Amino acid sequence: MSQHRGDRVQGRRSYGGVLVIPCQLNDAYRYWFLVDTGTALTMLSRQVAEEIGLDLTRPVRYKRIASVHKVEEAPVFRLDSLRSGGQRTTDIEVLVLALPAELRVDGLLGVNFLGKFRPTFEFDQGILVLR
Amino acid sequence: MKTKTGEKQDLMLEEIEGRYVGEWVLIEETAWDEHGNPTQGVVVHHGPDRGKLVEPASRLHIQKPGVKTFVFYDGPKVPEDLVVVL
Repeated sequence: MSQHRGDRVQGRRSYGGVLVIPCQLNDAYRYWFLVDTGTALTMLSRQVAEEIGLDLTRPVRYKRIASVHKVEEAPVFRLDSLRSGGQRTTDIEVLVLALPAELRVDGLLGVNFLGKFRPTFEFDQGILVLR
Repeated sequence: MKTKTGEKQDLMLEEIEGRYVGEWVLIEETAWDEHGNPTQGVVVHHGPDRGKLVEPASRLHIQKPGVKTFVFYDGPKVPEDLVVVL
C-alpha cells in the first residue's frame, strides 16, 4: 500500500491534544469530527443527522452503547459514504446521539471507519495518516 | 459577507475563519484543492446557536442538489478548559 498525500488528513489538535479532522458525509456535507479510537461506531450529532436528511424515526436498529458514565440505547443509521482526506468508504453505519454543546465538533470518527485503514497519528502536526 | 450589490461573496476559507469567532458557520463550498479539500466558499449562515444552522443547511441542499457544504465552529473545537474523556 502506498502512502500518497491524499492519505494524510490535515486536522487540528485541540485542548488536551485531541485530534479533530474534517469529514465529508454522502459526498456533500462536511464537518469537523473528533478522532476517537475508543469509539466503535462513528457518531453524528442530531443536527448533522437532520441536515443530511436521515429519518430519525426509522433507524436501521438500536444498539446498546457504553460511554464513560452510562449504558444506553442509541439509534443506528447507514450513510452512503464517509470521506476523510482522500479516503472514502461506502455504506457505513453511524450512531446518532446528542453531543455536549461545549464540544464544537459534529461527530466522532470511530473504529468502523478507522479500522478500514492502517491509521497512524502525527500528533505534533495534527495529521491523521490513513493507508 | 455581501458585496455592494447584495451578492454573497466568494471568500478563501482562511478569510472566513476568524471573521465569526465564537459562532457556527455554514458555507457553500465553491473551490477545492487537488485532494478535494475546500479552499473557497460563500457564507450562507452564521450564529452562536448550532441548531439554527440546520434549517438553512437542509434548505440549501434541497434548492441546489449537488451543492457541497461545510459547517464549522469558528474557534477552538474544544474549549481551553475542557478535558475530553469520551
